[in-house]
Amino acid sequence: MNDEKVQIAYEILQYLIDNPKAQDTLEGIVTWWLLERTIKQQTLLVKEALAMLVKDRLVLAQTGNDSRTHYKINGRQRKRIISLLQQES
Amino acid sequence: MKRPKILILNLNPSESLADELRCIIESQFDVEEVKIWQKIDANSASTDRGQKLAQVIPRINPSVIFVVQSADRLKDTRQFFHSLRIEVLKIPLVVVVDEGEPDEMIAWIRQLAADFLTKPLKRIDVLPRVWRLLDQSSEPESHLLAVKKQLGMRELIGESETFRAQIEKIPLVAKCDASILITGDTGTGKELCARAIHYLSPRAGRAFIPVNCGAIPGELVENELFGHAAGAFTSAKTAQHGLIDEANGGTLFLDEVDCLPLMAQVKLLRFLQEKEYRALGATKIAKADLRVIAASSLNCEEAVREGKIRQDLYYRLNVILLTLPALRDRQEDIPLLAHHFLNKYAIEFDKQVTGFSPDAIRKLILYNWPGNVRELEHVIMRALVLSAKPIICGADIAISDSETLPLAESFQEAKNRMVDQFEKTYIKGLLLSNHCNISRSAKAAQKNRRAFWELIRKHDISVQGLKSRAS
Repeated sequence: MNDEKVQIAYEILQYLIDNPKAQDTLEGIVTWWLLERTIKQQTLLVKEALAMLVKDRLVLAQTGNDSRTHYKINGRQRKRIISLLQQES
Repeated sequence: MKRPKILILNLNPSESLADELRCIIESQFDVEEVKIWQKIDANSASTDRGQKLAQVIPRINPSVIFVVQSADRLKDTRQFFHSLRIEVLKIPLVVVVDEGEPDEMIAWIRQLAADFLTKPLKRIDVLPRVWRLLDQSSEPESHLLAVKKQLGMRELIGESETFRAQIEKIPLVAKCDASILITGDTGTGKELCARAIHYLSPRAGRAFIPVNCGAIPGELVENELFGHAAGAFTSAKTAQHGLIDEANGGTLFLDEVDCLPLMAQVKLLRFLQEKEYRALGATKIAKADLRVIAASSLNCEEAVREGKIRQDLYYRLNVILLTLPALRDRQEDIPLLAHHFLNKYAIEFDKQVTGFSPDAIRKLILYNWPGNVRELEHVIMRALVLSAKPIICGADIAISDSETLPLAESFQEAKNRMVDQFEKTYIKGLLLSNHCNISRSAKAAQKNRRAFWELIRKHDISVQGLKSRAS
């Protein structure tokens, strides 16, 4: 099996482990199961990336009265951020 | 642990509905009942009575409020709650009514209610709803659900007003647990809608079982739906679960419900009412908690009149109605859908096709699309497979000329068609809002009764049919 197929197979299995009573046809699996897995994975990755950026003080995290956290650029680190981006590109 | 408190707001104390409800929920929760004998409406909110009611709710501080009311006063009650505009309305509100009227139910869900219940009240109907609402209210709408709503709904493509009006109901009806009937011609996307409702509902993560009732031989339907016990018939060596059991906890989608034999309809109705059923040849009664979404491509009222669908089953299924428009009635969506399918299949077949020529688009728009979106999808897929050019042109679109509207429709012809369409919709709307009283409708239209009656005849509108729909 190629990598992409293996990846999708694992995602389907993970969905079934998370939701053991789930059952649907191909259309539902393509549209909804994999969508949900992608959202979950992306959310996790973005969360980890943000934690890393906050730890490096490149991004500031502020928790509002509604207990929700808002993220914004740390203006004092602007030069460092630009140089990091240039290095990456 | 403190038991959640439930408030029953009994606005219909002369009926026993609140008592039945109380008996069911008292076993699991602390219940407080407030009876209000007077009629309440939008004006009551500013009166002492309205203010007292507004104060009593925060004092009791319930986790869920049940509003028990009769169907004929539901609209007034909604307007009353709507005009209260107080914090208590953040508490999940369940409407309990003797019988539901789909449009009014949608209005409640759009504005205020988290769910609703109709007679007869059953433990298995009421208690899971309360637990689900308590679970939901303890956490705000999750990030996952919000993104799922946004991305998943993108599968339902179309920007026409008629289509959007129906599609926008989906996230609203998904959060409640009522039965839903989806009507629309074949290929209009009934299963897509049913699936979206399931995955945006608290039942997502459980089974979604789509069944095409028309594809199952009549004599096997009951076995398929309800299963059988070992020895139920000659070849039944072992017991077999039915689709209802498979869908337990989730959603059962019954497409072409009008194809169910009448005996199976009786059994399905009994299941919908009691949430219990008996497998073929079984001695024990089984229970299942699932949501049923039914669909039909027929005019269901006509199907009831013709005896294809039992009236009592129709009323049970038609708690919330979604009517999907035919593709010919949303011509403005055709280019959008065509491009969507082109992109989809260009990736799948690895073809470098980027768009349509103007004559291809014109041909697509002028076609009648009897097979609706499904037919459009197949036509685009075929054109893409057979085309060797980067642009699909008119000649690549293989559709029958007999279903194509005349290319050169004159201004006058087009105008007459639109006027006809407008007259029909206007008259139907007016009749419905005047309880099908022709004199009153004519007066509202500022036409004399005779001229109004002539219009009804011209457009072959069945006043009797509308009356049964309105009642």
